[in-house]
Amino acid sequence: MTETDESLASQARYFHQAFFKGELDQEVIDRYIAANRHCLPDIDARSKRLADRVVSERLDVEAVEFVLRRTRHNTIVTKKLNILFYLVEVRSRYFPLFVNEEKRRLRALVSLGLSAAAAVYKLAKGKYLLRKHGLL
Amino acid sequence: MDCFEAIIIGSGPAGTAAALQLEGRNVAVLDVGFREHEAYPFHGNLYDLRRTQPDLFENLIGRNFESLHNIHERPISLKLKAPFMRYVMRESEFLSPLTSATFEGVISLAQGGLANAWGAGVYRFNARDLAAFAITTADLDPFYDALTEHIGVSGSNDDLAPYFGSEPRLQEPLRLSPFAAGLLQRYERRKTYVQSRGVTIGYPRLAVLTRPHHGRPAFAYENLEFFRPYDRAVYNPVYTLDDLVARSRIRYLSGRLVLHYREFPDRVEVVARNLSSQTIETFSARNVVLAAGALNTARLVLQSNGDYDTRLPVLDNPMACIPLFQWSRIGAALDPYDSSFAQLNVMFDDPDSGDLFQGTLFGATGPLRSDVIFQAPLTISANLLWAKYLAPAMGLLMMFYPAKPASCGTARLRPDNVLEIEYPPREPGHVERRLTSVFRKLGYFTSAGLWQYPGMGGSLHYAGMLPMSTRPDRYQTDPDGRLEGTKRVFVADGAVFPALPGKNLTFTIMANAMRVASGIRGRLE
Repeated sequence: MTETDESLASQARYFHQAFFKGELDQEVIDRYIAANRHCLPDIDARSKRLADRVVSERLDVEAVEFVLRRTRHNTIVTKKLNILFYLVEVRSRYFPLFVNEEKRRLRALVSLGLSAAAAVYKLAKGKYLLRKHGLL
Repeated sequence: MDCFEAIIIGSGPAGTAAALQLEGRNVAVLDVGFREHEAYPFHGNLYDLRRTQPDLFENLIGRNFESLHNIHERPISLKLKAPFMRYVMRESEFLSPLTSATFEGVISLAQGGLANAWGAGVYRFNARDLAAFAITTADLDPFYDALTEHIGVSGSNDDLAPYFGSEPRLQEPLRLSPFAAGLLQRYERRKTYVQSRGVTIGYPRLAVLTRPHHGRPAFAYENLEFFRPYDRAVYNPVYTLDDLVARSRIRYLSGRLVLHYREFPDRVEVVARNLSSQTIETFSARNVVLAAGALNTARLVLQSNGDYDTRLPVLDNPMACIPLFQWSRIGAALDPYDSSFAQLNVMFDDPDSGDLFQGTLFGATGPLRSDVIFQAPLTISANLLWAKYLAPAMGLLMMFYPAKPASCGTARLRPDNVLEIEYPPREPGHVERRLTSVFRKLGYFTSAGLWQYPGMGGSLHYAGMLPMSTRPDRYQTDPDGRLEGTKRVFVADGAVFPALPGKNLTFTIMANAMRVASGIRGRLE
């Protein structure tokens, strides 16, 4: 199935909002659409439904993706997020999010610890959301 | 038809080394020879560029989303997928097809071959490495020496000299990252213990210049190895080829895909397809040197014999990738003036098996984080944070296992020109646990859950299809590289290796290619 530009643009904005602050540049949205056409031109109906429902029902995409990646149940959300991350990583606005250029040991240890703990929560939440919305 | 004295097929490390040895004779190199012609648009350090340039999409991702390749296609090496590096594998799936359920082979038809994206490791084989070969170190040493002078090698005559040879002409080694420098210091402090466990650590030998050499500049630590081709500080056979052609020392005929050869009493005819005109051309030579890379050389030999049944042996180094972490460097500032080349080498001499394993320690600054955070085990946010704060604290140890003939793969050519490879799956070894226990004592930690085992074919070290022997059988070669059953067909690439030690093989391929070519030159003269 082919996804519409509108659907892909909505994905880009929603996924971006889940991980980054601020508005997503239109240039990146356009590239996200083009990249999906190039990399994922013909996704199956089930995957399309999954991606659409994550966006339309404002589900926690990180939690859902985490479970899907771990269970290898469906890779479509992972691939789409991966595309988005590539597209933003090469923009200087996002550079500090990807690269640490100052000595920040305490902040690093605290945030790593918290993120690992949060992952446990996200795993549980993701399983719940997938079951509740019949996405498995 | 002109008759060359020799035709060399292929322009990778083997073909170019053979051409260098035969320069000035009536020699032609036949090659497909793809090149990247568009100039890389940026100069400067990758991290400086990423911090200051608003958008590096065309540079790092590509107008055709080249860098997203692994999202939707069979994964390839991170060094081969960037937009300006795609020429290395251009059309290889179409022109030199492979098929296998268990072997992820990579073929390059680019000028310079896979050396366009290599790690630049150059290691001499010693007597132990050559134990199964029909030649000795004395046969190769003059050519190792010549190559060292020709290409420029940086490194150190340190604790690894017994494994890599003592070399008086080494340039200073590349600057180590803080992680690697710390590891080397810890090794020095606990050397007796580490070596008692069979482990020796030291600088790698790299074809990367730290001082200008023969008109090529010193390495500038721009960290662009994953993205930019033709860094003149990093040896590429293309430089040798360009120089030989510019000085009219050889003829270079690119755009030709060699299909097969036919030997006659007084010559060899090489049949090739001209990829521009799609016409068939025939070239004639007194000798032909097969240097198309081990897989393609095997294909050529089988095709030339019309043999679609015989299975030739295939050797490849099994690999393990072990991330090592130093807790005290978590949250450290990333040093962007780094390189993606080997930081250190780790040799593990296993007392139980008697095998020798070469490990290479790499940093984590080269690839984009988006290449790795979706393979890590936590949520995306967590993976991103871990990548950000752990990169300065992490080294990636890539171990090569020796390839044993008893557990090698096989290759057969199908009538449709597809090379069909079967390779038995490898069993994870005991080496990782033994090695990581040593690193733990040095203060470096890892988890078995993070170790990765690339599929067979992933090392890009292919060898063994036409092994050399003092009494060669069919589809084997004599010590001069001559293919058994022929008088004028020589093999100069890794196909002639009868065994594959756990050590990078490219330098030995080059030295042996020069040796084979030297023999041909001697006969011509």
